[in-house]
Amino acid sequence: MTVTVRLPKELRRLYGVPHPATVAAGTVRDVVAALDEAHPGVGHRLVDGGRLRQHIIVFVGDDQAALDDPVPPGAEVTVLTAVAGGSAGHQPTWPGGQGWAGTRHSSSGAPRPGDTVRWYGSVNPDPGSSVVRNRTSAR
Amino acid sequence: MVTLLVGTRKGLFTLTADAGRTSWEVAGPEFAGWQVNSVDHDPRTGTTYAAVTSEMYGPLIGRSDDLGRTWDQSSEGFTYGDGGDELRGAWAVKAALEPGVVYAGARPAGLFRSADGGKTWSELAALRTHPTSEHWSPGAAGLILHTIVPHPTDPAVLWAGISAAGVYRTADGGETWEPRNAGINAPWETAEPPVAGQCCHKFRLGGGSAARLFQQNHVGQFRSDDGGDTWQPIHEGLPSEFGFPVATHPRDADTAWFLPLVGAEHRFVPDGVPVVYRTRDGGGTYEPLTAGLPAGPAHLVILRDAMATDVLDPVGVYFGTSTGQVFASPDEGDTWHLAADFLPPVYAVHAVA
Repeated sequence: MTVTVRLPKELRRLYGVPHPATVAAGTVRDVVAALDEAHPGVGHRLVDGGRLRQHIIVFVGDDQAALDDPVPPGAEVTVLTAVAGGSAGHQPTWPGGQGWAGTRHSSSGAPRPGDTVRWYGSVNPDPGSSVVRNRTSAR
Repeated sequence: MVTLLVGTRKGLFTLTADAGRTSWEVAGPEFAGWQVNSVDHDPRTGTTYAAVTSEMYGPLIGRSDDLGRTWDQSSEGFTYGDGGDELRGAWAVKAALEPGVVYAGARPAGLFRSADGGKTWSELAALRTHPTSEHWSPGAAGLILHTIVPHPTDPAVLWAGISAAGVYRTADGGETWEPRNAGINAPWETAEPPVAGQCCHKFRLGGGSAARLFQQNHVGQFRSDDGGDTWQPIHEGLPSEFGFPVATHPRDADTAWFLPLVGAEHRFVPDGVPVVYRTRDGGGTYEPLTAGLPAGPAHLVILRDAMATDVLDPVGVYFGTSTGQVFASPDEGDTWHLAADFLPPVYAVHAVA
């Protein structure tokens, strides 16, 4: 039940997490626990109070996932964060809110297959290039 | 050697100088991109602590045994637990009397204790659930526990400051707490001073004392001579009652430094001219100190944890600004110089000598 996990660079750097990381897990919650076991403290950056933190979003493959959702063998798990957009004073919200951003961008500027792309609002400007699809409602 | 640990909106910087404290070398940042609201150093164990916060990834308490070169940020137990409120910020960290005992303050406001030098934490929940917590309301930075003052000789006694809730004291290691705000108004609560709800910005113990406290509050500067049981205003001679930081002398309980800002509407130094005010008589009189500081216009903002003293003789005094300057005085405030510039907004300064 091995899956690969892609964390935002800030967390990889602070906790020394490989990119991608490989863990054995059956659910998203297992993924967080396995990461935390290998890199103490990193799990608490994603989960607090038994829930995903307010500004953390997890995808399993193309689908946004909750903590207790299953992670099939071989799946790619991607952790993203919200970003603030629009006018001052907005708190970051997602999905379908102010927008959110991936953290694995193409260095050439043009997205490559498998890259996570950044967009704002409710329209994905380049839906074919992204590992994630825009969503306007929570599951 | 003197090391200034400078917490900023975008990481922790260190400034080092020899004992003359006139020429500074800047290094960092550690925790690049993360907000460092509070820093402390325990000279007995050599451990440095940092209260670090990310809007996305939440708060942690970093600990370092090599003056900030490498960090452990596991922060096990720094949580309100499953089903509890999500912890959104770390705003205070303070090493206590017993080696290895460390306290940390959080947003939403609560107090945590570690007995193993910051490796593992547990909440002292009696403060967060205090009956007077109905009076607590968030300030501009949220409902935060930002000030922790351990008693200098009694490990069971501790003061904590929350905005806007006021000062609380425990005499039994955190099992029970009492608000200690008598004499301080809170005009947004009621015409009469309530037992809690005051907007304490910062308070510190007077040097060598276990009973004298100096406080910068939203509504003024105050002094207590009885461990916070009662407070007296010491505004007279200052240009504004508003401000965030206060610093105290490590050995003289009558000496303190304030940096008043124009009231709540503007929150920068009066007339755009930074002036540090020093009292040597417990707040009876003040000397304005300006030598070496910008003559203006310099609309500086100095936040609650961004002024500090060292323990040398004469005492070094330091403050950082929200525009990224750090000013240093090696002579108790008589003369100042710019120790660093172009840093991110400074939230915390702690001097290790």
